[in-house]
Amino acid sequence: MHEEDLTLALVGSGGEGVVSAGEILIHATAQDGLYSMMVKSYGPQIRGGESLAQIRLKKTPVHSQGDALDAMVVLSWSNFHRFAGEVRLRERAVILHDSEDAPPATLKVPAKARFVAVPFTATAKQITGVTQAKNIVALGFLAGWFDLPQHGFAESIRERFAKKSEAVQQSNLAAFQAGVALAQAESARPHYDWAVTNHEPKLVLTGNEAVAIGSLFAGVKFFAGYPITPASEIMEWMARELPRFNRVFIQTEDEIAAVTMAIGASFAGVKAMTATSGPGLSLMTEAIGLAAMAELPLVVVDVQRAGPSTGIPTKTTQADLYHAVFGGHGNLPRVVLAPTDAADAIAVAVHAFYLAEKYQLPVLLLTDQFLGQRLEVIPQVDFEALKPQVITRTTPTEEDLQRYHRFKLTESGVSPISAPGIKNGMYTAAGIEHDETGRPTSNAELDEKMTRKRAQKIETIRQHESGMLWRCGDHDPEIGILAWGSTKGAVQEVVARLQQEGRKAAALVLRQLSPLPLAQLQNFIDPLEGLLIVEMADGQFHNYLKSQLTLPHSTRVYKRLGAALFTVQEILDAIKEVDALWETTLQQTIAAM
Amino acid sequence: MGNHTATDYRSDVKPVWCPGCGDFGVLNAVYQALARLQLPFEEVAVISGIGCSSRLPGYVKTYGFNSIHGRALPVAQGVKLARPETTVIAVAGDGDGLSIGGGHLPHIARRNVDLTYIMMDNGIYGMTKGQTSPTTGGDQETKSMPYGIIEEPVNPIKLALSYDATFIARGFSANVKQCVDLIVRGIQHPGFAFIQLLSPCVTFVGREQFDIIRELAVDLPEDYDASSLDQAWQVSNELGKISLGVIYQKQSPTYEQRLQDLAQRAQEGSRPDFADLLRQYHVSEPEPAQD
Repeated sequence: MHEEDLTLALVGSGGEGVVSAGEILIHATAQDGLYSMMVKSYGPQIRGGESLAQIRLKKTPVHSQGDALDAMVVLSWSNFHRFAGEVRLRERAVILHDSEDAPPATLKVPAKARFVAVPFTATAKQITGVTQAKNIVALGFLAGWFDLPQHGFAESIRERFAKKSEAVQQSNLAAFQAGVALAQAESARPHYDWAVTNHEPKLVLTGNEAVAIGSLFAGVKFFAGYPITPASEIMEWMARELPRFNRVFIQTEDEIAAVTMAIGASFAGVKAMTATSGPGLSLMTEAIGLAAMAELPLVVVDVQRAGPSTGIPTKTTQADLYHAVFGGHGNLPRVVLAPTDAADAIAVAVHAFYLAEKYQLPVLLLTDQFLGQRLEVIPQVDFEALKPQVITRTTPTEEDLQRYHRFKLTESGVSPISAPGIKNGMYTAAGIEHDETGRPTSNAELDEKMTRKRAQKIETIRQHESGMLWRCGDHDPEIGILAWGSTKGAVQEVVARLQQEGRKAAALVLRQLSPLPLAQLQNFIDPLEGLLIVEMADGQFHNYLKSQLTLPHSTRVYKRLGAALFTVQEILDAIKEVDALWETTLQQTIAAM
Repeated sequence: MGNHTATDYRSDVKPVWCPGCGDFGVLNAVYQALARLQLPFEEVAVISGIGCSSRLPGYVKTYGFNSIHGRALPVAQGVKLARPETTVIAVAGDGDGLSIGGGHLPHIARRNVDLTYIMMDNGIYGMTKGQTSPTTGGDQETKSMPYGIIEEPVNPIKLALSYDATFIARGFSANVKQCVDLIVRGIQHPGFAFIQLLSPCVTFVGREQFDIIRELAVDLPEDYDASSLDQAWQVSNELGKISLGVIYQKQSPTYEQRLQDLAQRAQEGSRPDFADLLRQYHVSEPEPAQD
């Protein structure tokens, strides 16, 4: 099977249907067996402004958004300058634009790039009578130009306009076909073979939807939330689905109310969660300490966005790491998890509830705008395999209840937890320091004991749970990469490229930032000649690892401070710096001999 | 149902309150109210934030939660909505409930969550030893305003009325019998019950706070109509006296009832099913060509 790999972008002003055309393309081609990923870039404007949808299409699962564009469809140039800097065109990229809208004279493109003027608007008007359908004409043109399989488009277009009349559906189908015909009339087209022989069952969803689906599967009974970009989709999903399952959704007055309501629900014995982004996480931090102190299971999702403060709500980051891992006053035991992609987001959400329930503590689930809002086609998820992790907290036995001590000291640090309704299980949960029964105390010795008890749970997790590492590449690598969360996609491709070049390379991607699986990490690091750490923050991940592990001399950090997505090529370039560093280290060692 | 006396609801934790604190009266009233209703220990949750008053849950032998400053109401709502069969009592002080946590009051009122909220109002921050609270008034000097208070105090009854709370009452912790009655009626009220209990701070305001309140306090007259919003506003505006009793009460669907109705609408007769839900995200395979 030839490895087709196509990256294209639809560009326009908000309201021109750039994103909806992208969604149709993803759903349509998925029906014909293709995998894809779509990332969106848009401005702060509620309506209007710039809008870009970048789609990468392959016959095998897509891990990253694509470094550069094979094609760019421009519905209008008017807002193009706003993200001209984000658009990277391949050497021989084709730029398809409306015949009525000439490219700006200032536009810089690679020397071999090609412009093709297409009557998007005129055709839309001619076929449908109005200009709105120019995005559908453009979609047809793309399908024709790149030989995309066309079975799925008809159904996807119908689905998109399902709420409109039959006439509207028909005219859009006609607009699509007209676009296809325009492309097929062009002689100098590239040739692609998209035929897929074995169709695997697939899902199409965003990272935010994946987190929500995983949480529902894990048995969440209570969701309290407050709107915030780019996490609102999780809340809106819960608002729609939880009532159907007789579970509680509530939109609160602020993030503090959201998290404390979830804590109250957890105290009442049910699995509870909230979801937010950086500014909300800052507000929730005191309450996360309460969950840790009162030893109540709690899941908090942070869909990271560029910060600090308001930052850029629509752009991604990994800079909430410090806050998630270290945020809050006092000795605050918490688990921090970070899924790598949409499929993993389902699994990690299930795992978050598993750990929260089993160890009675707050679990932070860190995703980001990149993962949360991108649309992915993924292989069907094996929910059966996740079932063993759907557990509930240990409640006291009859014997425990004879003389119930809610915070009984145990080897694991976990003590059976009661809840209203359980006879003889009454206790007072508290943010104030307390003894084994829950009675307030300011005794220093007791405080030491109880603090150790809570901290012990983290050590128990470190020793007895999986550590959540994701690994790819060689078993005995010379060059290694450490990354976390959604950076996995780019890193996975980097490792594959290095291996193609004959290098012995591997990557370890952390899906659990707290507690760190130290032994497994050190075992990975120790034999390496060179190590590259990749993060979208100003050294937070690097400093964190450095504080707990011994890193090799030839360690480089490739960090991104701005909100642009990682490309495979820039990480490959950073590997060259690691190589150079290793050379120098080697020379110095030899010289010193 | 058991046969519990008020003392049965006492936990074995000794209160940290100063001798003579008004909060003892409130605690006593809570015990008696629970006994009058014969509520099983395990079916009651007393939820608080932080402050002198917020120590109260630990002194009651039911479930309790002494949470963080200002957050008694959201924690209590979480408990109630997650397990509606629980009788939930939230307690807060004036600083806890009207300053840091003041933003939660309008929202629980507009939801009408079925729980009882006792605000133990001493007009001072006691636990932090004597700073101005939102209800500190008059010519006092406090530790945080040593040259006198230059802000007007808030009027909790007016707030509750303007937020459209469905049950509003005021009592005085020295009059335990009346407090018991108000708490019982608050618990029995289907919806959000706001009860301001004046509870003097003998240490940072002084014993004279009892005398001042006693002098101004009057029971609402026999013919007072608690269903009349006009009369309630008049009571909230009165100067030179403090009326005690149920000031306002009206019937309105509780949040829990509305949630149930909403769930019914959302389900529209269809049974919830995870596999069905997942189907929305499945890629439909292309249909084989038909002849």
